[in-house]
Amino acid sequence: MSKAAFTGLKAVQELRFHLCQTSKGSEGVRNFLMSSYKTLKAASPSTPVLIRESSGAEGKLYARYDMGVEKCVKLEGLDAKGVEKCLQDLVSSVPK
Amino acid sequence: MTRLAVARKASREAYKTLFGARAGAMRAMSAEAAPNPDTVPVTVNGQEVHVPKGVTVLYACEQAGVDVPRFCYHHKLSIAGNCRMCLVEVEKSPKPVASCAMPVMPGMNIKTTTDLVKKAREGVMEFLLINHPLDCPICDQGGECELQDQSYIFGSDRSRFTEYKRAVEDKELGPLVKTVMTRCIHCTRCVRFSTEIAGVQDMGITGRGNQAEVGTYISKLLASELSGNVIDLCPVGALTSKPFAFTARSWELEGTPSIDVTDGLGSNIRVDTRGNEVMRIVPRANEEVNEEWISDKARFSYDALKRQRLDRPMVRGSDGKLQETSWEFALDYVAEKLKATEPDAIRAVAGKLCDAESMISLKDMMNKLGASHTTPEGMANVSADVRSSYLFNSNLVGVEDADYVLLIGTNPRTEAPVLNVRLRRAVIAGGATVTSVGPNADLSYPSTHLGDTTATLEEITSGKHAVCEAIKAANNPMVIVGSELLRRADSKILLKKIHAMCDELGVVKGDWNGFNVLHDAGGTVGALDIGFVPGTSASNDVPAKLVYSLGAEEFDAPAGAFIVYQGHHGAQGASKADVILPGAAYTEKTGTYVNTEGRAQVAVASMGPVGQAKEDWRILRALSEFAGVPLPYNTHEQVHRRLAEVAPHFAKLNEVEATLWMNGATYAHEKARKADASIPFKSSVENFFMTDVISKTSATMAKCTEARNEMNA
Amino acid sequence: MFTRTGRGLLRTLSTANRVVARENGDKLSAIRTFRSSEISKIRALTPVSRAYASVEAPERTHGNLSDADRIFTNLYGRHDPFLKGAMARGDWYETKKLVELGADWIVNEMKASGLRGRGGAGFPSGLKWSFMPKVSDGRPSYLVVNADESEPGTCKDREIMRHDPHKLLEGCLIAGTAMRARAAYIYIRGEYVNERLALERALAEAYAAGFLGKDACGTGLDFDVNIHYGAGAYICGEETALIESLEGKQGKPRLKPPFPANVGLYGCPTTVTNVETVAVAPTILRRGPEWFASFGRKNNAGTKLFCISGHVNNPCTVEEEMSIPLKDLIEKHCGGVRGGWDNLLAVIPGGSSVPMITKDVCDDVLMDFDALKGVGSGLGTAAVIVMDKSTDVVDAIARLSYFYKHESCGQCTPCREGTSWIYNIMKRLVKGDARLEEVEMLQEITKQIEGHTICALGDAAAWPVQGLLKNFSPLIRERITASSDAKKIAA
Repeated sequence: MSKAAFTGLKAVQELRFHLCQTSKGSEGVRNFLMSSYKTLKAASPSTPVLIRESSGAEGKLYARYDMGVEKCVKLEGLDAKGVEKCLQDLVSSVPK
Repeated sequence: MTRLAVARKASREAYKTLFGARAGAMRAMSAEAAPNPDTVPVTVNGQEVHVPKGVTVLYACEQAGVDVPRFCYHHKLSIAGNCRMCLVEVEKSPKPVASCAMPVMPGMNIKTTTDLVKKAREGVMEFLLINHPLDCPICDQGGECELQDQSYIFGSDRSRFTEYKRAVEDKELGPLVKTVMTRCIHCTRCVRFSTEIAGVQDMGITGRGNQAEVGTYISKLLASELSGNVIDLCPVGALTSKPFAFTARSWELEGTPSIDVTDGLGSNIRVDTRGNEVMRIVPRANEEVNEEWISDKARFSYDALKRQRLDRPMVRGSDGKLQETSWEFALDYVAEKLKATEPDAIRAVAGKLCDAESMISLKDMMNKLGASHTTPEGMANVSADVRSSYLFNSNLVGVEDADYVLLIGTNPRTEAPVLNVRLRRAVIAGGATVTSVGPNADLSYPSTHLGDTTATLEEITSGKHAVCEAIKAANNPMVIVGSELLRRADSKILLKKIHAMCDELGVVKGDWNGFNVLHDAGGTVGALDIGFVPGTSASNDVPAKLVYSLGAEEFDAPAGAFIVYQGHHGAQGASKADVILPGAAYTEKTGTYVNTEGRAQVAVASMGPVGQAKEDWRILRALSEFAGVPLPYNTHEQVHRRLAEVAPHFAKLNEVEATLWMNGATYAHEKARKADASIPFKSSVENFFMTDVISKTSATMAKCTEARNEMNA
Repeated sequence: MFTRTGRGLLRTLSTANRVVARENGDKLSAIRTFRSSEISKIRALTPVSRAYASVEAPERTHGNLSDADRIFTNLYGRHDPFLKGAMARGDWYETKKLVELGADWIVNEMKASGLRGRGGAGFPSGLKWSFMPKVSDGRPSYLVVNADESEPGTCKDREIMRHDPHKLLEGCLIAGTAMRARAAYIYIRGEYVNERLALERALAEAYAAGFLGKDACGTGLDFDVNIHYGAGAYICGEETALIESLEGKQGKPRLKPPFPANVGLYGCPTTVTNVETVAVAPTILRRGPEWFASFGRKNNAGTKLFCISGHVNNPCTVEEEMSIPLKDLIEKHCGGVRGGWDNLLAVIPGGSSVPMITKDVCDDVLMDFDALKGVGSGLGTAAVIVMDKSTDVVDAIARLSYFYKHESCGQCTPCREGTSWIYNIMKRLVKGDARLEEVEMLQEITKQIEGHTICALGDAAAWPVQGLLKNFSPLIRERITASSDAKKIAA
């Protein structure tokens, strides 16, 4: 994943990943973060990418936009590619 | 209930307070356990129990559900065996046996209900009482006194002593511990605590026989940050709390479970209130966090809760003076200012004692207004992305498994005295080595000081220092980074190097994560966990025009900025404010605090806020209404659900999560810069007794500071 | 010259002793082994006295130890105490051979000799020495010699230390070998200044002569002996308190278990023995355990140093055979009780810690462990305190109670509080300033202390009072009644 893929990140105020440290359902999230966190940060160093793990938690991704608007996408059961797609969807669909 | 049953219940409560629910939990376990090959069978009063090899007869009796009276035995201290109250009969033994000291043998037959045992207990109790003064009416320990309880249940009903009782001079131990040494029964719990747990060899016994006295002998201050714990340990009223002296009786008090916020450990406390007044704070047992201890600051700064309180909303008039006003006016005024200021010029700062509920309310409100510049007090430079980068990853219990500890920029003795107890145990009992880059302090156990500059740290992180070999060779090496390092401007680059070092030297390997950050206050981790950090659009280019301080005392505010201070004490922060919104202190609101391990714990409110003050999150909820951006929660449960939405571990209280280590990704994007070599590593705590707005306002803490200064002069 | 067996060696050694003795001019009959002809000789000389019923049939009297059988031949300091005199008396003779016979052999010989600890407890010494580990787990073993002779009435160890110190030092080496110890520590009470100086001088001599230290006696083993002195605490005579004091801490007894043989000095296996026990060991080995066992009744073997003090005409310390009748001991060696045997009131036979025995018991009791235990007392340190009818026995026991109150270390509750209370009551009983119920109460209090303490000082404080109450209650009650009558009259 290249830096270019995440340039849209600047439109997002904050990203939050929820995941479980060990469950199968969060495996995709884990793999994605392990491989792509660096790139995410490089793309937009000032965007907080909060990674919040809790055992038994369902994989989720929240994006916070301007004026406190938040959108949530479930990542449970997805693989890393699926997670990336969800992220890009969220990043590109900035509410007006 | 009969008097005896009342007394029994009282004594069980007393036991539970001191010994925790451990005994009860153990009983529950033994009821279901099948014989384990590592256990030996013993019989207690005809009932067979299986206990691990090598435990004491007392433990076996507890497992069988039998209460054995004792004074000198404490499960956290070494065995003394000198009160002789725990004598039980063991078949085939000619004399009764001190159950706290005797290890069990397979097939031992223990009896605690025979005449021999009864006479022994009555005899020992009689001896304890012959020189004990008749102080119950004036003794603070009355009502929660082990001697009272045990003499009621196990002692004889009358006295035959007609000689003169001996009297002992009181000792001066400082402004915290009041001593009436005539009451002392020489159990030596305080001596063993000072020597083994606190690590200060201040207390001991001088004299012999009947003239033996417990004290410091040389009229010395009991100079430990944990000195208040001897008050809990002393089974009689010889050592009591000086600030609490003569103020209340234990049965008047209602205890509420709460969490201490004066340091980062989240020590479990019980706040004892009488009506609407906090009378004292005592520890709750939690083996995973604070064992049975709390620091002196946690225990004694409650008198500040009545001093310098902000109890009514205030607005600074055009004459520059603060004037009392109504909530409506104040909230309206602030809301107007919020709406009028451009979002990029609004800053929000969360104080280090804030609970997660109020911080999420503030963040949500700010975000709804379009403002993203939210920072925790002092932690402007800290990234909240990866939890393992700002938490105590090994967990507090993991300290005892460490065999090598590298302290960076921290003095655990003053920053987290209860953690220091664990470190001390790791060193003395576990043989761990402790080295330190940072303040050169007496930690109460042997440690090596390597230096206090970034140059020394550079040597270690680049692998050139001598200790690197030792760290690599260790099985469970630990690195503890102090919170003061996080406050430095160059913190990111230092942390990047430390992270890299952890990977290289095996501080983080397999299941063991030895990288730890030690926070020094109860609210910081909560702020980071909910993401109270600047959002993407927040920048420092636009100067701040409105600063909302949620209990923060130190924050940047350019001249002319409109400052709103929402907090509980009128100190530094409030003095700069244009509007003061009185909030609740940690004892007056139910709040969630996350400790330095990432464990979310709830502090239940023991009383309501003072005067016209309100709970902080409610103020923010009301303010959001006035500002036209109403927050979507109206009850505490709803706020809590919002917290779980932000970070899922808030839904699992009292538990620690295993953190994900990002293997160098955490700071990979940070550009390489040089660390600021001119600033040496300091501890965030200069004066242990005064570190936050509450302890700075406390008169007791002031007395302690004075006493320490006198001692060191 | 030297035969291979141990026995042969001993016979040769005894020949040497004979030679030595002749040179000194002492009369010395042939070294004997146990032979019935000897018994009949003794019987012919002394009247047959009834042996105490608890032992086997052969009627035999004890006492009348002949000079040839004495172990401590310089007890009164008439000869040179130091190396030259000691060697002339047979000390340090062929010690190398004894050491080389090995630890197991020494322990077996000690077991066969029937020696029981001479410090008061009377625990079989061979058995006690065998508790030390045979194989080290990394920790060295230590021998500690308890020369803290503080039991009131006892003055035997000081005689050994100032007049025959080399017996003690050689004994240290022998006992240390038996225990596989690395070094010995002699803990001598601080008040014994002259004794310590004598011992230190003897120690220097032994080191200089190569008997101790590196390659002790040429055996290739290193054995060091260190002297440490106390500072005036009776409690430091208790073995674990002694170890604590040696380690530099306050002399407060430890809990047992763990026993010193497992965890002792500096946490290493240690055995604490009395001076006399250690000092007789070399002689036992040289002259044979059967010789030692030939003295005294069964299970009470050997000779003993008795210290008789009090109301006798010649208080003294004397080495005599075990199981000697008390009457004989006092009459023969001390010139009898002051004012005649019938002037006797009571005797404390084993140091202040054992209960007293009254005259009728003293008439025929034997001085050994079992006999005295059988009459409700004990041999203890064999410090015989004789009290005649002029004694205010209540005052005497009150003074002993004061001693225990003063010496209690204060660690455990019954002793710390109880000894003080007992003394206060005793003080009043001397004047009769009490109520009659308090006599019963006093007995109960002693029972509350006895057996409930960490160390035996509690028991030691309780027993004299129990002995008093058992034997002299009528006297006490009389005093109480008289005193209260006097008060009524005065009022």
